[in-house]
Amino acid sequence: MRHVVGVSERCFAIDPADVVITHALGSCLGIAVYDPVVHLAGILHVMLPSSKIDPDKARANPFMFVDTGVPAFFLEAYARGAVKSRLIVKVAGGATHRNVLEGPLAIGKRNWMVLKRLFWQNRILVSAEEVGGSAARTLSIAAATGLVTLTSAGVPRIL
Amino acid sequence: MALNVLIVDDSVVMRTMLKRCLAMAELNLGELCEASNGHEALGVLERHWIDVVIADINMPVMNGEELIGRMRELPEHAKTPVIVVSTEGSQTRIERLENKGVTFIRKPFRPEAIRDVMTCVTQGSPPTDLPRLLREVAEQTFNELAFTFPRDQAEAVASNGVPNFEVEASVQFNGIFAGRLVLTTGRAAMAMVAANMLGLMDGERASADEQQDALKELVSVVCGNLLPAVAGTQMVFSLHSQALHPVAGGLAFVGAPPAVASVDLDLECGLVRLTYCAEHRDIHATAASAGAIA
Repeated sequence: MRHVVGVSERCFAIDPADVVITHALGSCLGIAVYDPVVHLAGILHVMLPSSKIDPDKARANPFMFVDTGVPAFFLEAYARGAVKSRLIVKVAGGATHRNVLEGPLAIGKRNWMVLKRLFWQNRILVSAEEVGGSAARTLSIAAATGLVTLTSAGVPRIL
Repeated sequence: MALNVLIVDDSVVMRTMLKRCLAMAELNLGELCEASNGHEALGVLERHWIDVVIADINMPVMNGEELIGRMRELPEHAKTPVIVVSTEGSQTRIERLENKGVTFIRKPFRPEAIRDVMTCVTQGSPPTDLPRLLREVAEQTFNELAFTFPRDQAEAVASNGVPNFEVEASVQFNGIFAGRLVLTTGRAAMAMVAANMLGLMDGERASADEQQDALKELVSVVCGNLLPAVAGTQMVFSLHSQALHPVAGGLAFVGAPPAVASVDLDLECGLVRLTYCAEHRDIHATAASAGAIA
């Protein structure tokens, strides 16, 4: 089965036939995690760097923001049987529109910085990443193998 | 202006190789003089106008280090660029030479290394895009080491009003040119970058020593990455970071105006300003300036 993850959403799959996919990652970040022992695959599609701009929205849906969404996503993965030391983490997205390379509108860069800080604080290493640039990306992960595929401008590749 | 070069090496083969490198570099060269030791070189320096000296260290009669020492005592050669091409392995000796404004190239060398160093010595002018280079290197360093995203300067001024600069950390460098990179910031920004570097959770606080150390490390890393971008990868510099101290205010220079670039990075907790200043070739004047900065 194919699970599509929308903006500010996350999804996990454990059935070997399942694929989790998220489309249109622009400045948003897609974080794919995989535990090879329990075959748990998940994707988080997170939109904005900091929940400080709207704590009410963050309470209603923590997956909208990197600083609240990522911890909630990882805690959910652990609750579903994943173990931190086994978790393979891959990141894609964080693009910046060609006309907005600098300044406060560079959300993609900000998202990436907040995520890196979080990972550093929580001792999480990323095994593969494709972040930045200006292309929109599609990210998918297969529950059977943990294979992460990335597509942009119609070109698929393994991350 | 054609440059007169003096090559000092006890090996005829090495002198020939160096001459070949200079010819390959297609520099605007004038007279090419040779000497087989430091003593002979001093004789050449008395009789000829020499713009650049390329010297070995280990030579009979008078070695390269003594030659450089004697040259620096002579008013007319106190600031003459010297490039040492040697197998020297002692870091202490290399540092001692660099503090005299010498550029070091280790044997075996590629002809490109000689070209790059000669180009830098002879042209000696800072790149026109120094502020851009500084911004790029500083942003990358803050992104990678301190997980901090700098916004642009216009945004910084708009959001922060009067910049809050309370402390500074600096690093001094010596080599083909000498100068200093100064990082100036407020206590809030200093605390934030230190906490980020240590991976502290929100609410935890880095100690005062850790904060100072973090800033010193950041300015050193920025400087260490900026210098090759400014001067090419063949350049050798020695860096000496300075303890954090309260902002003295203003940068003062003695003699010729140095190459100055300044960028502001707006972090979440305030501004970080990086000011780069260096004087090319004029090592002694810069040493005086460096004192004036503090």
